Amino acid sequence: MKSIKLTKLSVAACLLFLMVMLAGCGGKEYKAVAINEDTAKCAACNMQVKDDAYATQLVTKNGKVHLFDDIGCMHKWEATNPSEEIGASFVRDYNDNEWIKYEDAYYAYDASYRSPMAYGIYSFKDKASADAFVKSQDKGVVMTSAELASHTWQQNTDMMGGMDMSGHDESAHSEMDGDMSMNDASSDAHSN
Amino acid sequence: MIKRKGGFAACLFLFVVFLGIAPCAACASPSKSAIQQLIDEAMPGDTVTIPSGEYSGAITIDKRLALVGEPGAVIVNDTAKPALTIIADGVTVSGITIEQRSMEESSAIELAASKATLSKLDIYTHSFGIRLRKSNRNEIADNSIQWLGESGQQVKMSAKRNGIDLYDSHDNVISGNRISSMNDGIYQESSHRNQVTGNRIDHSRYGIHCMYTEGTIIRGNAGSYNVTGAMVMGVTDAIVEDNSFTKQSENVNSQGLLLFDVHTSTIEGNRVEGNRVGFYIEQSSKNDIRNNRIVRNFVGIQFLESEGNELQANDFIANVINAEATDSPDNRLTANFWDNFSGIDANGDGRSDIAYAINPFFQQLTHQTPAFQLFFQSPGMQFLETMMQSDRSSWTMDTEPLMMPAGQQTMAAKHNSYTFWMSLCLLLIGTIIIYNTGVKRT
Repeated sequence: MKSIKLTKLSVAACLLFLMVMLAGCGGKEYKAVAINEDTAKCAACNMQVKDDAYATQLVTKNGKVHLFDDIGCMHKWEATNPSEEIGASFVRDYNDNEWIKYEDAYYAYDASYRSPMAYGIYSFKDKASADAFVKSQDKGVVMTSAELASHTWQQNTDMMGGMDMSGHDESAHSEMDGDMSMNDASSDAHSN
Repeated sequence: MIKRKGGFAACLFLFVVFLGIAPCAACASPSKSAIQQLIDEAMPGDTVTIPSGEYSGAITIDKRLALVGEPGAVIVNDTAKPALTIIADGVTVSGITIEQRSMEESSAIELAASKATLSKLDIYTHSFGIRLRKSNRNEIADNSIQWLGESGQQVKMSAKRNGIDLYDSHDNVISGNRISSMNDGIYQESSHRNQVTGNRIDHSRYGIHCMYTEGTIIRGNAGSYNVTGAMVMGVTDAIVEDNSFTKQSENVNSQGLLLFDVHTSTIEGNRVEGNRVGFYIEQSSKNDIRNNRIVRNFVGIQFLESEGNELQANDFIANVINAEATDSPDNRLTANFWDNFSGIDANGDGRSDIAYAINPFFQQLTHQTPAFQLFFQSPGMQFLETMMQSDRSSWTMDTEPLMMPAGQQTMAAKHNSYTFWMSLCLLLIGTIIIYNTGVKRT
């Protein structure tokens, strides 16, 4: 009687152990890595990846980390490397540079927002701060990661002397790399 | 009740006192008004001369003036605003030293107008140097721009800003400036037909950085000790000629000249020497790359996913690897000189009869796994390289490489024709003298 109980217990223990192991395998935890500006290079466009809010990264299933200087470069890389299995991708909160999962972030976009490769997309950790940013800019839309999937990914590569977009390029210059407390004559729309 | 009334009165009193103090506080900064007042009093078209001395900043020029500093005129700006903001067309500023001390995102000179001339300025900044916004047809010449560094203090590269920064600004001439220890020396984004000539840029991130520009001319500049000499990205119809990019090798991602997404541009007569990679060319097409000297780099030229480029009469000398190319079909390489290649020239036209082919093996290998760079030039790697010859026909190759460097050849040709005509002349003169004098004497 006692021995049967013991066997049962050990079987249960084995099963539990197996379950824990399997669960551990399935839920592989991906983490964002820190950026070393001396060596970090965008996997798509070759530019230096600065340790700023525009930086993004993805980790493939076999553990390789690719860094990008602009979320648009990450999108481009995914499109040109369809065979790579992506474990997780990370973006940063625009305000405090905290790494967040791509799926959990909210995105603000406007053609006039400036970013290293001119994709004009900023990421935020919650909807409120994304909304607040768009409101402060007086232009732009807020998207979820699902909505971002159907985004055009158009780069704003040509202001054409402001002829074609006189509406919003006035404050286009208010966005310079990184943090901003600008004195640009036209930065009235801008606050941060 | 009385107490309350007293409180109210006290409040009112304090309020009045503050009201009285506030405007004074605003105007209190010592000699703020000195230059600004001169400017405010001047008529459009006047020349305002600034005597030697130290002035404090945040100055705005709102009419067409010439602001000329006498030797020793210094503007020191501790405010978060640009030391000098120009909002009127046709302004001239020269001969002033400007110190932009605030770490706030700003610039030493903010140019929001056109047709300005900025020359012979000494700029030390904790932010941008000269920033152009929708500002066209300016001349920025012979200035010096440097990061305002405390001695011995290491600044993170991303904390720095650009020396001259153009956005949506066209037809400017930027010449003879010296830029040191900034982020990008000269940065141009969505700005067209600008001429960047004869500038010297060192110890910065990218010497000259073009993003989405058309018709840019980069001529006769010198870059050294930057991460990359010139970073040309998203550009069409640029002319990059007679520049020298040397000793860009400190950073692991260093290049002399990088072309990314560059089309129908001319890259001619440049010298890239002692860089990690001389020319790095990715996703670029239909460019004309000729008469460049690519000397003593780790990798001379590197092609990735680039096609339809024309490479002619370039000299590749003393590079560890002369050339690498992957996924780059239909580039036309003719008559370049490759010093690690021994050709055969049976018909004596100075060009080899056998082609020089670029083996993509090592680049493919290290592209997948960068750590394999450890096997660089190892015997095993070289052996493998010679084994992997299967699709040799798709490799990038020079069909008729030169037997002698193109530089030497033109010199030799010049020398030859000179000697020929000289000796012919001498012979002719000699013949005439002998013939004439000979006839007369007899």
